[in-house]
Amino acid sequence: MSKFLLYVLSISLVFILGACASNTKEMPGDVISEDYEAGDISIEDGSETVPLDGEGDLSMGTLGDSSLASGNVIYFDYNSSEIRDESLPLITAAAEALVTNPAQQLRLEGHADERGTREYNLALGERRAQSVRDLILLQGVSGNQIDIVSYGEEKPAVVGSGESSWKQNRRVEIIYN
Amino acid sequence: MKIISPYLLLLILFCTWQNAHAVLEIEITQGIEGALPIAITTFSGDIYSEQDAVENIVRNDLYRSGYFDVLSKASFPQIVSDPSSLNISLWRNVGVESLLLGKITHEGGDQYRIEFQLFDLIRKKRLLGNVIPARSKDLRKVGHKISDLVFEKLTGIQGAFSTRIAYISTINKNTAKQKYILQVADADGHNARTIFSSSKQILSPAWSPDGTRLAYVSFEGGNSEIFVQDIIQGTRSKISSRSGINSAPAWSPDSRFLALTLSEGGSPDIYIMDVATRNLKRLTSGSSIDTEPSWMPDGKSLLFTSDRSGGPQIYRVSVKGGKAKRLTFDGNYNAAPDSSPDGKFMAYVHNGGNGFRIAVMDLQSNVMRIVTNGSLDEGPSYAPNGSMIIYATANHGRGVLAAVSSDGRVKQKLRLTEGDVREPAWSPLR
Repeated sequence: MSKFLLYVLSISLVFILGACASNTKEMPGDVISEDYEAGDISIEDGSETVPLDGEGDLSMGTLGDSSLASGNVIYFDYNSSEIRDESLPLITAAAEALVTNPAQQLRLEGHADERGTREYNLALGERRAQSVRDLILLQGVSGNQIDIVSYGEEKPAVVGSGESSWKQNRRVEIIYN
Repeated sequence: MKIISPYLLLLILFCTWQNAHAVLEIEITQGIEGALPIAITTFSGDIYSEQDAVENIVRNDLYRSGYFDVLSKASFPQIVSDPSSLNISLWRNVGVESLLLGKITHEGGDQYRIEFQLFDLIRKKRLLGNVIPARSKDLRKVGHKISDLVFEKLTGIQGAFSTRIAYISTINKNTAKQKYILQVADADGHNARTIFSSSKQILSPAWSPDGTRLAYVSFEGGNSEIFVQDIIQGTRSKISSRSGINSAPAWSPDSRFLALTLSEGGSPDIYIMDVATRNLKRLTSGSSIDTEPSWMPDGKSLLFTSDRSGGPQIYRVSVKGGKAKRLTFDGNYNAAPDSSPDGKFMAYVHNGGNGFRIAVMDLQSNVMRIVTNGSLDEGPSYAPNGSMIIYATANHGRGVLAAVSSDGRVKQKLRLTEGDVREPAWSPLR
C-alpha cells in the first residue's frame, strides 16, 4: 500500500471515529453532565429503594458504549499495561490524527476487569491509559491534546464473569472530543 | 431401565447430597457448633411483632453472631414473665444455660420502659438487670443495645450490634436508569437509608472514627474526586479534585487526617491530608502503584498496597515516611488491607491461585490464614469490636455482602440483598 493511501485511510478513520465519538456522547453512562444537584443528597429515614427489573442471574449483555469496540479500543493482558503489537496501528492512527489537527482533543479512558480490588484497578486503568498516551506522545503529539481518566473496573464494556468478558473489559478507549 | 436405574439413583443421591450439603453448610458456617445455649423469652407488652419485636431483634442478633445457640420458641418448656415463676430445671432440661427475661411497659404518650434480666442458669445467678426508657421509634435500637450487653456479658467481647454498615449499591444495573447509591444500614441490614445517589460511579466509603462523616470517591464530575459528607447534617464538601486519580480515602484514628491516593505526580502515591487545612504531605513516591492506605489504630503507621515488587503486595510505612516494609509474600495478589481494631491482625484480599479470597494475617508472627472460599471476594472491613470482617462477594453474578469471623469459624450472609451491593465499610462503635 502506498504511503498516500495509508494517509487517506487514517484520515478517513479519524472521521469515522469522530462520528462514533459524537454518538457515544449521547449514550447513557458516558455523558459528563452536571446532573448531580444538591437535592440528590438525602438523609431521609425511608430508604430510596427502587424495584429491580429482574432479580435472576445476570445474562450476558453489552453496555451502550461497547459500540466503541469496533475500532478505537486497545485491549490488555491481565494485570498488565503493556501495549500489544496488534494495537500499534490504532495508536499510530490516533497520533496522526492529533498531529494533523493540533486542535483535536482526545480522551483516553482506562479500564480493568472485575478481578482484584477496586482501588488497585482504578490505578491499573490509569496506568494502561498512560502507556497508550506515552506511545502517542512519542510520535510528536503535544501532551495537552490528551486527557486521561480511569474508571478502573467500574464501567465494564461487557457484563459477566469469565475470560470472554474480562478480556473485553481490560481496555483503553480512545475518545475524540 | 435396569441399566439406567443405578445411574439415576446415583444422580438422585448426588443431587440430594448436594442439597443437603448446601443447607448444612449454611448451618455450620453460622458457627452454631459449640455455641452458647441461650433462651430469649417472650417480651410482654411489645407494640411490634415479627422482625420488629424487641425479643426477635435480640434473638436474631445473637443467633447471627454465631456465638449463640438460640432456643426456638417452640421448644420453650414454660411461659415465664418474671423471675419468681422461672423454673430453672425445666430450662436446664432443654439444654439452656443462659436465659433473658424482658418486658415492655407503656408509660403513656410515646414513652415505653423496657426491663430485662439475664440469668446464668448453671450458677443460678442474675448477670444483668436493666431498665431502658425509649420512644416507640427507638425500640429497634433498644433491641440492639440489649444484644450488645448480653453479648459482652457472656462472651467477654464488646457487642457491635448497635453499629452500622455503609455500602454502595447499584440499581437498574446495565440500563439507562442505572444508579449508584451510597447507603447506611443497621448492622443487621435493617433501616437502610440513602446518603448519596448519583448516575455516576461511587467508590470507597470510609467512616470517620466518630461515626458522623463518610469520605468517598464519586465520578459525578467525570473523574474520580473525594468528598466528605456529614451524614447527620447532610452537608458535603469536595476535598480533592486534582488531575489524575483522587481515591481511597482513609481517616486517621483521631479524625484529623485523611490518607488518600493521588496520581497527579504521575503514578498513584499515598498522601496524608490535614482535613482542616487541606494541606498535603506525600508519603510514597516512585513509578509503582501505591494505593489503598489503611491506618494502624495507633495512628503511627499505615498499611497500603503497592506493586513496587512486580505484582500487588501489602506494605507498612510510618506516617513520618521513610522505607516501607513488605508484609505479604504468599500469593501473587495481596491488596486492600484493613487493620483489626487492636492492631494485631490485618484482613486483606489474597489470591494464591484459587481466586480472590479474604485472608487474615497475624501481624506479629506474619502467619496468614484464608478465611473465605469465594472467587471474587473483596473489600474486607473489620467490625469495630474485631469479631467479624464484612466483605463483598459474588453470588450468581450478583454482588452481595457477607461476614466472617477473624478465625474463619463463623460465617454470615447479610440481609442487604437489593440490587448489586459492594464496598462495605463497618462503622465505629457509637
